[in-house]
Amino acid sequence: VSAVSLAGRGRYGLKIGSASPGSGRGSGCLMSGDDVVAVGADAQITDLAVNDHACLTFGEAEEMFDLTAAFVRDGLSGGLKVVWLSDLAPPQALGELTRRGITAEPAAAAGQMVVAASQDSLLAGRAFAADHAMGWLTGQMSAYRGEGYPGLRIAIDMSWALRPVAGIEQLPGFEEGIAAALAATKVSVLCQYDRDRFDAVTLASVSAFHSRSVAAATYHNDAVLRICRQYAPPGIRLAGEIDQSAEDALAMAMAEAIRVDGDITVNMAELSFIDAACTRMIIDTARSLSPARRVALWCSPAITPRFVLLGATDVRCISLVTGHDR
Amino acid sequence: MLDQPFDADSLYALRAAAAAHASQAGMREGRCDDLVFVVSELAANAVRHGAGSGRLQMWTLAGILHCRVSDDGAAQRSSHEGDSGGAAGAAAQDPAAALPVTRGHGLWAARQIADQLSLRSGPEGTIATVTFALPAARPSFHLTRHTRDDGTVLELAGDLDRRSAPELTAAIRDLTTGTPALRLVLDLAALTFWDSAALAALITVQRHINDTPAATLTLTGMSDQFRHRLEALGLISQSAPDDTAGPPPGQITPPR
Repeated sequence: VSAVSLAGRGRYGLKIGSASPGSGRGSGCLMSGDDVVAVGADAQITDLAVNDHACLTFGEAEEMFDLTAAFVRDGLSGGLKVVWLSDLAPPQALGELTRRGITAEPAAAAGQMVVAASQDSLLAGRAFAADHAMGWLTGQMSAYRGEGYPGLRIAIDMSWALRPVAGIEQLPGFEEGIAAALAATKVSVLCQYDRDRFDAVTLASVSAFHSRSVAAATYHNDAVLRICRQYAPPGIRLAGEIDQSAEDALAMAMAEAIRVDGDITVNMAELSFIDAACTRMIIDTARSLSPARRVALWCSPAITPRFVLLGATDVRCISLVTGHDR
Repeated sequence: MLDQPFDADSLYALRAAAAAHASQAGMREGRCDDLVFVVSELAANAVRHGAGSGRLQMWTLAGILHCRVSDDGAAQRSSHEGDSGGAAGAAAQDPAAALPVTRGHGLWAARQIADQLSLRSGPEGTIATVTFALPAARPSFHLTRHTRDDGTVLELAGDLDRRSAPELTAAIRDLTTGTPALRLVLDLAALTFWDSAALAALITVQRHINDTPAATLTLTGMSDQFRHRLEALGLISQSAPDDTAGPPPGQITPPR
């Protein structure tokens, strides 16, 4: 039974209660308000198991790439074959993974990773037929074993279904077919839906066929600011404008981020404003870490000067990365 | 002149208004971000340590953008998040003295970034004033009229844009009213900037001349790039000879 509930359109969010890192399952609670009804997520992207048929909902491209990168990373490191049907041209899609620290290009060269255009694989010309698409899936499912992989992970960007495609009414049938095909296999499928562009009726019609719903853990989400967890590379992501009014959410996000071992990234590439209090909190958090850990601050050009002025370059574990040169 | 009240819940709107105002005043993008940061810190300070609300006023004087952030006074000034310890006594006399102008904090950063920052407190509350020099002003738009034997020459100098374009269309309307058989030359050699409002003004002028049967219009002095654009818009003919001895280039006469 899917934990996706859907009662209307609007902004969706998942609020983390007392979640400890990596134990996302069951920790989500729906955020609701007058005009806010949530598709809640019951799993973190890092929790997916073999034969899961997961429904990933995302709000921005950055979020989708991040969650996909984590899905791909965990698949590759587990020795599985990984296939991503992307809306991007394959070289760009590989570039997005590489940018997030995934060794996607060597894996693609070795055949462990395949990136293809969703249009070419699932559609027959400009039409969609559930039978045709299932034919592609079963082909993949029989091929990976012959290639010697112990399992298969498939991510499918469903954006193609937003375009005028004949036969789109067969989409729920395809999702139902995937659910049936995965039973008792070593294959997991991650279907990626843009929660702002897909209408509520379509999301509702497909959600029931998924075994899990997945979304980024979100600490703050309103019209001005979004703070959510970043999965690949691990850390948090801020988008919009942040000032002291969101200090508590930022503190919580930072506290969770540093609880995991290893290096963390604070992705502020889509952040256009940060005040001194929040800048200082991020710098002070980094300063409190053991010197062996690195904190990468990805900044938009507008906010790099704030970090420099307030002393980020004096903290040895901080590396500042500006703009799109990361 | 901007005059906008703010409180803890409207700092986002305040930043948007300050950014729009600074940009309109001609401030460049990076400095505009600086101004927004400084104003936001001053306003946050008024919210945190002052009355909890206040107002931002912005105005331009002699090429300098001034921002004044005042809190609503008569506030219960709670002690700030202590980093200038022992200032409580001083705070009683001069609340501004107790503001956390400590290295690494918001007001300190604001002071490093603004051209000038002054803080003063009185019974009416705390007033912070910051200034930012505006980039050197663009040359203002300028129309010069010469009367020659073969007609009237209007020299356009400076930026022809949304603000100045109406001046051009009004001037030409006046000229054709006084001289129906106007032989007008528009000299664009000193034009420093144009936008779509400039193109619209030139099209409007051409239509107006075309509607005045005895009038003619010649465009001259434009860069090659601008000439191509005017050709593409049908404002000048592509076969116009580029020869100073002959008729000036870009002649659109006779009117259709």
